[in-house]
Amino acid sequence: MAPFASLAIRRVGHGLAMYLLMSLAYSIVFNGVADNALRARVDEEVAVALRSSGNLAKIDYDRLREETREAKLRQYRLDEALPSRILWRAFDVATFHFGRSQTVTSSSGDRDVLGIVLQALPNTLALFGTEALLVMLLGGLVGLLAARRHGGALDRVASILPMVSNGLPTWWVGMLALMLFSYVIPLFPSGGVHVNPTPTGWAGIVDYLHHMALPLVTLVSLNLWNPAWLIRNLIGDTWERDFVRFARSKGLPERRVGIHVIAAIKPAIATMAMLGLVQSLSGNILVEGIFGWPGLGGLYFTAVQQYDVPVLMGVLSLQTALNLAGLVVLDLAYDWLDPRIRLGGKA
Amino acid sequence: MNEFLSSRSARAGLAILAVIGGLALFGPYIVAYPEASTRWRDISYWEDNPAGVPPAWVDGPWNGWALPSSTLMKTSPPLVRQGSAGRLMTWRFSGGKPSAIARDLVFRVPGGEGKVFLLVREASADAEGGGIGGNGADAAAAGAGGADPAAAGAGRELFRGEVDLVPGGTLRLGIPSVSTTGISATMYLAAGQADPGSPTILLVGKSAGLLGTDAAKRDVFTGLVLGIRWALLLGVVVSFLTVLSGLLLGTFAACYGGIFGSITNRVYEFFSMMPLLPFLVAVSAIHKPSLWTFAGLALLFFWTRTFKTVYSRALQIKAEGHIEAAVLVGAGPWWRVTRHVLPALLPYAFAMMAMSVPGIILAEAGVSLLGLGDATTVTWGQMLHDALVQGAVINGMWWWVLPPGLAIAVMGLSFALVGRGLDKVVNPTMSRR
Repeated sequence: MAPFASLAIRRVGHGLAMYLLMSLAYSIVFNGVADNALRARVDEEVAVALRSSGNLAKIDYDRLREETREAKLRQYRLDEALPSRILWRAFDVATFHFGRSQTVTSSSGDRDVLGIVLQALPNTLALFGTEALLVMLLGGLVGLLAARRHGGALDRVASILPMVSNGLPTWWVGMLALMLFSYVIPLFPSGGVHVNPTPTGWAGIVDYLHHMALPLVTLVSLNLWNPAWLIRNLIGDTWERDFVRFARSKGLPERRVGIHVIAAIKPAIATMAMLGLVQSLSGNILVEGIFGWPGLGGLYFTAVQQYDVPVLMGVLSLQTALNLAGLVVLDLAYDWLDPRIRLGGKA
Repeated sequence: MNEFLSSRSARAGLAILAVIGGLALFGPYIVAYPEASTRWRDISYWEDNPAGVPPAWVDGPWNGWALPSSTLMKTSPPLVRQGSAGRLMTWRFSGGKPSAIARDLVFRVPGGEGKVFLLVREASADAEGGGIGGNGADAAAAGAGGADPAAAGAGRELFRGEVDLVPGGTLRLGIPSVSTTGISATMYLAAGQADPGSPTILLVGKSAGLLGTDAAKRDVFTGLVLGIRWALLLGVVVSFLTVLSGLLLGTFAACYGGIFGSITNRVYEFFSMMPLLPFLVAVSAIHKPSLWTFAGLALLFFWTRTFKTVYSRALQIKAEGHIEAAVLVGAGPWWRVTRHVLPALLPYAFAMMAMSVPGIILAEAGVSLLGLGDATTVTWGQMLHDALVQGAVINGMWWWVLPPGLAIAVMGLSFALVGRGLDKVVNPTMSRR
């Protein structure tokens, strides 16, 4: 078999194993609470099923209730032993059978967890995909400019701000932004993705962007400093390598030398960008929660507040799946791009 | 050490840390509410403060020089009129700022017993007497010899009605928003009713303290100072333990390799992918979350933050010539780890410890914001949680939202600065530029 194909199978297999393991871990961790949620649901459903049987004799009614109850318990596997319940639930979670939520509903009032989670996903992708893109663009620009004027004003700012932003709670900056630009000076909406009623066409897109602006600016303005600093250091390190000295000593103008440097650090930057993109798929619980952004993180925030375990497990499982899939794809992309592997290990 | 101190960032970081540490040590002696650490959630401890007001230093002509914090008015000796069926006692209160408007007025009677009739009204300073004048029925009931107490100078009525005095206890009467030139209170007591003692009036201002108060009337500055110790304790202890375990696991996994190495790497992979929050949610379902649950879970999860760096560094060091030479002369893996690899990595570990503190403080704050924090301690995350839940953001109460987050940021920055200073010393290639 071609080395790339066997490697691909190994990578995918590893990702799948990881996914199953983590589903099992979620199932173990939430076992007690999830069981209670299911029991409550069984009681609810038994009551619904017996609503039309109120005119039965007491003995018959009790027997019917017990039978319905037992059937329901069997249906949800609550009559099985603990290890088996855990395994079944892990399997359900891994295969996206999350069941029904306890309190959280989708925008149409539905309580199917998969539907709720899938409804939240596009919002997370929109906000954090844009964020990852802008962070890389602006971070790259700042890093480049800081590296060009070594020791200059921008360089010094770029060396301090990563330390500031690393210790700064993004969600707290969000609270301040919201307080200032949404309540004191009402420029931006305080939550959600659309005004009510939702405008259609271009107006709808503009409205969406208007809702996205505040969280986006908050996230980008804090997150761009780390990549900027890394890129600045990368350029600085590369600038002192031999091939750059050679390029200079043979008389190339600085601009051309710069092109060589950028070509040398391209793979590292691509890695950084892709990793940022993969991580952004999961969203951010606290920032989305503060801004009332109805993405995966916002859903998680609500689910924690309302203690809705099926929704929690649904969000976690989807985030895990996306994250692992992203990492596997990323690994495969490197393998594919790495000539030593692509050419069958002969290069 | 000298090299470390010569770095500007390290000195700045240490200076901030010294201030923070001083506040943590001496904080309880400088705050206005020394018992706050044990009575933070005790409503009665804070009841005399105004609720949700800005800091005292925002007062100025623009809000009419509002009354700062809480002012106790001066109480005059009572004017007693003895009647056949009972007696009228009148006190006058003065000492509020003329023209200043108080947010609340707290009227307290320290003693007495049974039901009495009470009238509280505004009075100008020069008016004498004052009492239950103008109301014939009351005057008749009082039987105060028909001599109507002087009604001259008596202003707006603030309170009129029957109140129940508690023997040995305190009657507390909140009266909203009054001007504070002068106030008089008249009480009608039946014959033989116990003397109520000298009542007091506390004017509750429209601003308070260094950083205002929250919606539960608590002093924000006190909370901020109390939060330091938890942030420091949690940050330092957890980062020390996580980096230490990451360091040990990383070096041993790299040097022993084999099954131990691969198992450690698998476990690392699992915990580095796994989010911490679900575990906290599940734990908080069983019992109330405490700082120690958080510390334990953080330890279980955050060692991964140092493991991989240490692991790869240890692999590099292991392959260096002097260590291979040691192996050739018969050094076992234990010797290799304890005499060569660990000592080489220790300086990095110190830098990592300092640099991992901000992340831990952030994690605690985030967890608290979600309502999964320790509700019995005063942490900055708890304060921000309260602020969010009680609408500080919506109502623009910046004095409540701004300080805790700034404190988190400043403490994070100070540790990051120290960490970078250390890093420059142990990583000479970095300091070259």
